[in-house]
Amino acid sequence: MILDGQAQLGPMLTEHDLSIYPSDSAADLLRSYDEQGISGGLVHAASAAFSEVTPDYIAANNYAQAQVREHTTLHGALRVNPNARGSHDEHVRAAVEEGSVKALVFAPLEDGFAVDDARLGRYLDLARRHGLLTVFLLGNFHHRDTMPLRLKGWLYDYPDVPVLLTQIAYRTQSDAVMIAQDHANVYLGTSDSTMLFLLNTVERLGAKRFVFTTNFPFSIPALEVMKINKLPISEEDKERILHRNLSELINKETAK
Amino acid sequence: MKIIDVHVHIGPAFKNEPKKFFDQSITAEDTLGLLDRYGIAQAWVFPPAWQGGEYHDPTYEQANRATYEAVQKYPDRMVGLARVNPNMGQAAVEEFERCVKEYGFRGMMLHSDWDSFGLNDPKLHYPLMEVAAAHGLPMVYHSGYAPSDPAGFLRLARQFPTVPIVLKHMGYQLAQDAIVAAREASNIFLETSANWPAWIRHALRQLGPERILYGSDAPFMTPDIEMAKITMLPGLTDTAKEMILGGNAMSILPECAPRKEHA
Repeated sequence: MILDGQAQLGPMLTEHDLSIYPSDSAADLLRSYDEQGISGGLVHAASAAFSEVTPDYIAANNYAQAQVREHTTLHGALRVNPNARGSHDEHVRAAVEEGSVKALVFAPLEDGFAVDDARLGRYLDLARRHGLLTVFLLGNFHHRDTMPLRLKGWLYDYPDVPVLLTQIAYRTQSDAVMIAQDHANVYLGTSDSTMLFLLNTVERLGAKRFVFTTNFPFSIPALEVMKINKLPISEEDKERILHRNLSELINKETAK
Repeated sequence: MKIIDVHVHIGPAFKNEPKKFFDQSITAEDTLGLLDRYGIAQAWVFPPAWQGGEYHDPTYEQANRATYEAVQKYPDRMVGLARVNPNMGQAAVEEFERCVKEYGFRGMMLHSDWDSFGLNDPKLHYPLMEVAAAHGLPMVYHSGYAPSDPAGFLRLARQFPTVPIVLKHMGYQLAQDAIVAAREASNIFLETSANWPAWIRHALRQLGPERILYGSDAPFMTPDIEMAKITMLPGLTDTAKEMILGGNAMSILPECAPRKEHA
């Protein structure tokens, strides 16, 4: 079984410069999953940086959540933006309390806030109360607001809230590994990493700290699966990375 | 399809490397085994960085010699490129010339990160570029964050428009800049190793397949994974794949074209 810890979907994503696949609806994502034997995944709405997505993410989250309800192998992750006005927080709370949300997603660069912004505390409180995973998209081009090290304050204050760093914090992978070494609640998403980096890091941190991710539609799921399968690690470790760790983090033994 | 990998390291400096690699590439036979394993007809080979250690070779003279010996053994499978440290000044230029004349090397690879030099000093670069221009050879450069930032290659490319400049890793973290540089200068080519499929896709949309070259950075990277970034890209035509995986490299060094495929 393979579970994807991060995929994106939503209107207009297909037109993004870096998008490799059509990804307007879950059908596009599931087609790609089926081809690779991926059972399901944690999906969130595309960035508000793409046209027609408003920064409060209400419509985009609702769209993604509707896709999740329609396709039972998908799990919902909600994008939150501390800069959003109006009923954003109410929307987040209601969606979480409704019960189908498994994670909160933070993208500091895309939404213009710093990773150590004090306003994130209220969402981390929410994650703690509801046992949610938090997903951080960090490490964009060494932008100071997206540096993984600036997550440390939250990691000390919320050691019980699991944090998934997608793409091992992208351009700042070494920093991400360092904070994962210091904080047991940090997990690393595998997409877009080299095999050598993955191998060295798995040996350093143990397979329990890795979650298979595709970052669909910005990478090739088949390639991401191939990288894990080719790693010279035990089958048990591969199984952990490919689905067990995520299943445990979102309180699922298996995909729905 | 004849697959040409334009980025393979070979040589004794790997004896000093504590890192664990998926493939060994110290001897000619190691590298030949690597090429056979991944169905690569030919590789452009050059030494890895000398970073201290028991094996001592700061001028790369021993490493260039080892590259030459490997190419001598398997001339259809390996094309030798020299490596020097431009900080050595005239000695580096003389080493490059010697490699071209005595060893028959077909280009040069430079790494400003590992060998600590900037791109903006004409004293360091122009004499080397002049050698490349005189012999019609490509220059292969590491690219990424400063001091290897892609924008820094524009001046060299414009000053020496007949010299093909291959940017390893396609600018790596600065892929967008590398794409812009390549749009500005038609003698800049982008090599795909360690970059992300999304950026390769974007480069293809911006530049077309003619300016993109497959490279693996073996043994630091695994050639099949790097190759899959091209072969698995949806919508890419077979012609485009052939160009990226070998055709474009043959256009840069037609005299080195491999005689046969290696499946």
